[in-house]
Amino acid sequence: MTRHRGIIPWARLCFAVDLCSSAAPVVVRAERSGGVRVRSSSIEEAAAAASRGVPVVGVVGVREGFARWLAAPYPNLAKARRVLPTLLDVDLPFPLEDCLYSFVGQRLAGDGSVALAVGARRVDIERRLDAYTEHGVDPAAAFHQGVALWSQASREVAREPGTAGQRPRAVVYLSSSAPALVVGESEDPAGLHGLRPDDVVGHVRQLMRARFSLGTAVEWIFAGPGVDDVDGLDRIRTEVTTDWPGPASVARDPGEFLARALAWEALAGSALGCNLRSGALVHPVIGQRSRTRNTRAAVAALLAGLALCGVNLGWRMAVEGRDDTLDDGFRSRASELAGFPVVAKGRDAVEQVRTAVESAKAQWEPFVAACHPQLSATVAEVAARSAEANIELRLLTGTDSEFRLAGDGPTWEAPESLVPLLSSRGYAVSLDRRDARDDGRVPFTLDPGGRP
Amino acid sequence: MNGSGFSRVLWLVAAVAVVAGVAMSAATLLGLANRQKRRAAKHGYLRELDAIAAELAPYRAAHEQCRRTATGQPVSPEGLLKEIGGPTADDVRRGTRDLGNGWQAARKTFVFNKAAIAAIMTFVEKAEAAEPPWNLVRCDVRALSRERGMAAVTVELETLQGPTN
Repeated sequence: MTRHRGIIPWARLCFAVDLCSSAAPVVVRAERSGGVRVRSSSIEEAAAAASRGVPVVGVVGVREGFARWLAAPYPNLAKARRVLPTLLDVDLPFPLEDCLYSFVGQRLAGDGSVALAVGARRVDIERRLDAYTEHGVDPAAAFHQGVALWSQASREVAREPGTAGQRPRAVVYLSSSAPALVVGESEDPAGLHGLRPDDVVGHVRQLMRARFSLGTAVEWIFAGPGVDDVDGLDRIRTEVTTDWPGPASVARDPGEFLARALAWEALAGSALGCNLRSGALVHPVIGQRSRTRNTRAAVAALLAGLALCGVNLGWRMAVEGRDDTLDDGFRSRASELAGFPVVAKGRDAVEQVRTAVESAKAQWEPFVAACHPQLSATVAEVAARSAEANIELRLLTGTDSEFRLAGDGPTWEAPESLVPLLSSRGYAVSLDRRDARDDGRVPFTLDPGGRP
Repeated sequence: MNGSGFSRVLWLVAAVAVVAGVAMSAATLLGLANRQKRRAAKHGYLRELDAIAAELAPYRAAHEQCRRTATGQPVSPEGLLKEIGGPTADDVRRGTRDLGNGWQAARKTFVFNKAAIAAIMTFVEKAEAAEPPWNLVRCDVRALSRERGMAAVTVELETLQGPTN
């Protein structure tokens, strides 16, 4: 079940005053307590409570206003909403600018969408408000009688299971000054009509004939102070159920039915609920509430925007802080390696460091050589290996980068063992042998060249 | 300013704040990829510096070691030669080269026209064991065909002298 907000959602208590139904005001006191609790009251109690700030709600009669379904050829609700005023303007016999209105119950239907336009001419609303003022109350909201009746009938008289959308429902409101008929085939009212007080039955039959063929089953609900006229009710009931047969029920406390409907609209709301006292006629309390809500929404948007800015700034500062730490670490490492403050960044800095380090390496090369002398060890090893292989050396010349040997060995292969020895110590040498001499020894030279 | 004017200004300010917030968020999100790319590049540069540092490390360590050891006056190689009863050099040449920052490489070249190879090897061993060491940086041995174990030998020794020397 859809939950609705009342028209005065902040209020826990209100008075609903019905000035349409009879010469004397019909007043109920309603309190929100879990649901909505309603009891009979008086205009004096309502006026006294209103002076203490308790909101009062009123009604605009069906004959004073209008309520009609409009069909827009757009299956897009937002787009359709933009053309609804134009459609309504075409439909009304008076200028739309003279009216206060709302579009409620908008929904997709077929290839387009529909909405119920509910409103009244401003002068009629003003006239109605003046009537309330004469009774010492100033209604914070004014509801359309037909919409309120239909919604209250939906609340109080449950449809028979499985009949929603199948059997039409007709709410007949009987009163001396504002009789009304509201009919519908689904959850929404299809027609909201004021009735001629002098010929209620004839008018109902006329309207029903226009909408339903004779014999169509209809669910009848009777309400209003006119229900107290038992003979009159029986006559109407008999006549209408003869042509459109179906269950006929009478609302409880029928005289306060409309006032109760107003109270429920105020405190609990409904799908079609709307306050006709709007625009230039808006009640100061409602206007103030609306402005406060507007201001709160603006402040919330402002805070959200500022929070968004703050979060972004904070995040950016945190990230930049991390980047700065990374940059500082890089700069100090680069400066430490280069031996001077490196101002450049990125690739340039790396290249500066590389150049400085190459220079330092060249400068420190003698220190590496001094700490790891190799030549004497190589000479000693070559001498030892030569002695083992019975090689006689005639020439040995060496530095850290070059090595040269000349001598002779007992076999062709004997000098070969010296090549890997020198290669393993980083010397590139090539072996050159000549034919064995008469004594069988093989002369050879190991010169710089080849691969280390 | 009436309520309506105030509300309008408030909504305007709120709209500006929301637009600014959204714009900043968009800029932050759009800049995220670039920022990550830049950070990856910085990490890459740091890794390059680490590699360069690793290359430099042995040089730096050698320099440090020399700085610790080359504190005293180097011994005289001629004295070592005498000490081991080695042959007398036919020629001794001296030279120095500047290594920068007050460091010098002192070099001595001993030329023996005829000497026992074993004695020269002992001499070189002693020289390299000295503190600071005289390291062999060049040798030239030419065997004398008539006498086994004898040769014409040239050895070049080098020692480092620090700035404090």
